[in-house]
Amino acid sequence: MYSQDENQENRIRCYPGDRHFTSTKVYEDVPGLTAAEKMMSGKWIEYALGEDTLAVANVGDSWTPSDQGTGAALEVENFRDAIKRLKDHQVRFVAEPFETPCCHMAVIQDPDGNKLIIHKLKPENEKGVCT
Amino acid sequence: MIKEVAFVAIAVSDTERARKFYQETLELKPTHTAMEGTWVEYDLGPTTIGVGCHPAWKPSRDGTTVAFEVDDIDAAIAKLKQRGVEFDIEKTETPVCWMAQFRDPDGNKLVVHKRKSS
Repeated sequence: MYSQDENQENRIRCYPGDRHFTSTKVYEDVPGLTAAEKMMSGKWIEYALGEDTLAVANVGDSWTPSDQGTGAALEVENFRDAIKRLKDHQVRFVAEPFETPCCHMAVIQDPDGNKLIIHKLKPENEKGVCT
Repeated sequence: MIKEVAFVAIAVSDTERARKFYQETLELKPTHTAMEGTWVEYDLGPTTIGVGCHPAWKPSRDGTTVAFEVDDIDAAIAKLKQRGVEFDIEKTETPVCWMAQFRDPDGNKLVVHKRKSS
């Protein structure tokens, strides 16, 4: 049903935000994302991330934030710099930076509690066995 | 600072039930399995969807979701319904797309999505 070839169009990850203003500040001011599209009078904001789209939305009671369930892992250019920038902006960490055989990760929360994973894949020559 | 989406992680409570749903109902093909089968990855174009089962990480009916881009949304919805998937938001048109929302067996929200040609 879902084409898994490289030419498949982008998929969209959607984050609900009750505290929409503070959420968009966190998505734009801290990581420096730029809104690619705004719809529904600014209640739906899309950010282009590589070939993907991350959407942050406040569309009513039928879709509310959660600190459980699905979460997006965001690949960063420099893990140490990203962690420092997030901490400098008092972003809440629910899992401090840790290392696996194939990556570095940390888990943060946006102002609504939605979890985001900060992720940096190790280069091939530094990877261990990823099981 | 952020380059791309590395992966999207979906929490499930029953590994085998999730495997059937994501691989048989949604027809996703596993590309990597880890943690003794409790973490299964599905590559979709440039993105990886990870379906994982861990006691400290629960599924949720709220919060973040994933929209799957399909070639033919009517055919995708019909096929999912035929396989017993229930939709809590039927096909809806927006100025830029069509979409419909359904749930996995744990209640996690998922969306089938078709962009309008620009």
